[in-house]
Amino acid sequence: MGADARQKPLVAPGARTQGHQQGKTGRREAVWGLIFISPWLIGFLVFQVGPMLASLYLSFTQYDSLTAPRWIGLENYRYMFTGDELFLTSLWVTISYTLFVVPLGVGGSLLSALLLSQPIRGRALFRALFFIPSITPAVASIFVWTWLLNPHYGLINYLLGLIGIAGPYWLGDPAWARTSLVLLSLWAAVGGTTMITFIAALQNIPQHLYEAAEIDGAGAFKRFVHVTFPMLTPTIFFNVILGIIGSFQQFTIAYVATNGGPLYSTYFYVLHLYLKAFRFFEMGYASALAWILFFILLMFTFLQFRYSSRWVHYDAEV
Amino acid sequence: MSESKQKKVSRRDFLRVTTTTATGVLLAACGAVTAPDVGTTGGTDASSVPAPAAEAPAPGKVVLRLHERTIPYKVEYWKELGAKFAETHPNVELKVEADGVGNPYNEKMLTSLAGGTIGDMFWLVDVENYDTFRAKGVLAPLDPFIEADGYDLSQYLPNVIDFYKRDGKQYILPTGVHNGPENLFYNRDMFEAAGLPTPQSPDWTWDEFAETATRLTNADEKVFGANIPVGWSEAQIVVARSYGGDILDKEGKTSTLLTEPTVAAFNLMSDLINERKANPRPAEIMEGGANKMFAAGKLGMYMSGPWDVYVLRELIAENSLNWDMTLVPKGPAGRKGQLVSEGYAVPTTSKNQQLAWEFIKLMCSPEEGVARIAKGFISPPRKDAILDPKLMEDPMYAMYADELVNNTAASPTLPHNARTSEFFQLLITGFDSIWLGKGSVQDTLTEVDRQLTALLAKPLP
Amino acid sequence: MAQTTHTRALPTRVGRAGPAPRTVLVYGLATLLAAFFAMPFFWALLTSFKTANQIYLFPPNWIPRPFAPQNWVVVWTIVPLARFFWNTVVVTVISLIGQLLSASLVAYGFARFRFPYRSQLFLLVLSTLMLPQHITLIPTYVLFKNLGWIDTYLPLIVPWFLGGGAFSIFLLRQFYMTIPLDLDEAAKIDGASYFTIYRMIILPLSKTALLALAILGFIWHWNDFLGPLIYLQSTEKFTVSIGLNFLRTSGFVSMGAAPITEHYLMAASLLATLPVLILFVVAQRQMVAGITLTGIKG
Repeated sequence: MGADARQKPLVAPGARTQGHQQGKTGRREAVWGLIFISPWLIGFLVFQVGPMLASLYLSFTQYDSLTAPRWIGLENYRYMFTGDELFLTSLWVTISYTLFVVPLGVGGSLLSALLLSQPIRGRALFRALFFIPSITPAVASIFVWTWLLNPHYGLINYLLGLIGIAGPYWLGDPAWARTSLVLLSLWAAVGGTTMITFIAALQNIPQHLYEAAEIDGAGAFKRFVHVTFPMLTPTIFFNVILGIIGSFQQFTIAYVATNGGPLYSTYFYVLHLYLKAFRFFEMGYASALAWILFFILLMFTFLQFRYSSRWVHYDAEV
Repeated sequence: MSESKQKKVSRRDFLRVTTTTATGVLLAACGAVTAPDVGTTGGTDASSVPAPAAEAPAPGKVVLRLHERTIPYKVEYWKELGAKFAETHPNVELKVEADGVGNPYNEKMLTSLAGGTIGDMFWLVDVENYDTFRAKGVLAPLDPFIEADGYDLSQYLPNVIDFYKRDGKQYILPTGVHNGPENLFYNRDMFEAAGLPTPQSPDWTWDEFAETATRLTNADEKVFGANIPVGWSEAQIVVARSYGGDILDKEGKTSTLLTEPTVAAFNLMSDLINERKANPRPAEIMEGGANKMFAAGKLGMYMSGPWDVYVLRELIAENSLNWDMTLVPKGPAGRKGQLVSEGYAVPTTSKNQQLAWEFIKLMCSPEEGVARIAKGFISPPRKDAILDPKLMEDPMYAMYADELVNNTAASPTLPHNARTSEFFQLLITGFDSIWLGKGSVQDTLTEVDRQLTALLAKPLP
Repeated sequence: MAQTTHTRALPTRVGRAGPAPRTVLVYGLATLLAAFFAMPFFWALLTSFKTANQIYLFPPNWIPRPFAPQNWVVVWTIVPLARFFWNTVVVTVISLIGQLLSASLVAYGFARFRFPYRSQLFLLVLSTLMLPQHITLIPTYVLFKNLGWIDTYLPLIVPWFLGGGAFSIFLLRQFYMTIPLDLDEAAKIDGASYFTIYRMIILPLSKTALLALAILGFIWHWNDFLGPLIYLQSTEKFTVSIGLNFLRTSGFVSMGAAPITEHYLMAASLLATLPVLILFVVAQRQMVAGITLTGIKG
């Protein structure tokens, strides 16, 4: 048992897949594969590819959403790299947010899932309590959090004050604002989607693997390292990929809670894009920002797939 | 755009898919709402309608669509007004399309404008998008209707009407107006306890204000003496103007941040926050706003708009805190405010422009203006509504109304151009280092001035 | 067989002499984290029973005095919540069916079949998540407008029947790829078609994953805000998330007085949360993972 034996790259040239196929059977398999993915293909061609290409086209235009777009070639991209002071600022805010939120979020969710898979009393209640943040509507949770984090009149600094600690300004302090948003995001995410996928993955681990390990005399730690963790890697991989994509697109909490401030410390990339698109009538430029983001994410995802075979273990890879 | 081609290819597929997957409920809900088809623009003889899907209206019935950003209470009011309108226009049904408040309004509005589905009237707050919409040909001029009706504009405040006039064309008939954070609310109890005289308009100056604020402040109790809402550009502008400065020049083309009066105004605000610690930083204000903080007894006085009269009356009823209202202090250039108005634009895509005009006239009638003020909303900028004798019996209201109508020179509109939203965003974030005590007033203003100048130099979108 | 046969953890065989330190640690940690996660929820619950002038008191009063349970009644009349709830149920349930059906098929195609450009196509699936939703909003809107779908539920539902979204496909693919291939092979020898394998082997063995996806999909559709906001025009068609936005007034209205509505907002939010919470509590009973860390075979 282990994740070692698999070295096949997932993202491989199409030739590989064809090479193994033996004539008719291979073709039949390929046809059936395409039949099974056809709902997605149709949906993609009908609903998604048009708008995506439209936004790509718009990224080469000046477009205000009100009058016809005007072709300006690479001007938007040129301005992005040479004229827009907030481009790099917002990219850095987003990257530094991602660096904290993804590892802490995925790690925290994994630990929570393990914790709540223990045979403890009241497990259903604990799970529900962990899960509550992810189902609380954002309007309510942001209201409650900004109230809790208020420097003078919020509950958190009030409680800190009771034990003699002067709490920070949280969302109002450039040194703390991004940390506050990381905290808020972790609160919202750790017990939610990611944890559920881990609980499901834990459930899916065949019991006989544990039994075999126990017969071999493996202790709890060894069983985790040799059974649990390898079996969880597909789900960890899934959550890391989507976590990065999601956190690069974060902007709602910043828009509502801080409006990008103070001093641009929470000025996320997509907040910049959103303001350009929907407040400043620069949909063309916003589209260019979006496509740069697209390529950054595509590259990240591609690399992760390329190197995933080093650590992600699949039982059945075809 | 490219998807129209897409559509032709795949329309049949869609139909197949929808008929196999969608349930009857959905099919009933499916329909071409947005086809603003052959309907005439006539007020009384319209025979064809943009049909709302779910409830197919009787033939000959016109649905007049009002796109609104507002709260439930106001939607109710519009619906009542729609019923009133139907009394004189029996074939017309007013459909209020409101999505609640806040930022999402922009997404909905711009998407609907891009898609040509915005309806017959949509809400607009003056400086934010008006210049852009007008320049881009989104707004239908109202002059043909005004002329045809011989509509009387004499009761309107000329400064508000003129704001919406460009090249001799009237683009909006404003339905609401106020003069911004020109009111000062104060906690009587706190003044009495400190043995201080209460603010007396019109003589009070910013220096007295600052001195009083300092004496009302009590750090241990987390009580701040005063609040100038510095995180809100409109308040910065009111203070700057009272010193004789502003953010931009009258044409909205040049930054005036580094002029002496503007610098002096920012020095006052910085002094209140950083030296006297008598004014909360934006982040220090209680969640929910300064009015909540005031009601909780944590604020000696604060600057806000006339609407807070109604909010405070609701908030404070049982706490029995004694409070009152006056006007903001005066600076070297006197007491200033800033004019804000709202209106309902008729988009050029509307097929019911005549009817929309009829409805806007009803919205702007003096009776409805009075009714709206009584509900805590705002009135069209017309003297016969604002100065209604019954309303004027309320002394707080009277103080505000008198200033609004009789001192229009003190409250010009906000600076604006076709990049208004963008420079306001810059002003909101740009001054943070002053309010956080992290940069000097002069340095910060210089930096924001540089960014603002660069922004104004960019070609208009 | 990949699926574990027992479903419920049995009582432990140790720890009779008193709680082991590890047990204390597990409970302590769970309680601490639960408090952190649930604190805003309970604050919202308390706020929902307050009158307007209690919400912003400082220091806060913990117990609402006077106690205002009527908020929970009044809120149904401020916005047509009942109508919104029903609409949300319709949209959520139908979309979810489409999502589960189509994603489970598509993921099967990606996990179990070799075909040309499969890897590239899969990257394309994921790439649909990489452009911010807002940037394709207007082109997508124009597309739906040309179809005559504005102010209908079709834009919110139909796309889910065609692929079920990249998240769902990816999630199920990851699970399918842990199901041993021997099972497929054995079934193939017995003459089972690909579709039979999907139905008889893949689906039953991914029950947990499908259940997880059902929970997550339900939440997604239930809370979706941007879609209903953009595509719906008539109030009577709105969903709960838009209804909540109606109650969020504080600090947003400069045009006239906004009545205090936070207590209503909290009551409505909790009402909106309730169906999801119930669903979760019921569904998670099926997720009883068969592992323990405490050294005892569960």
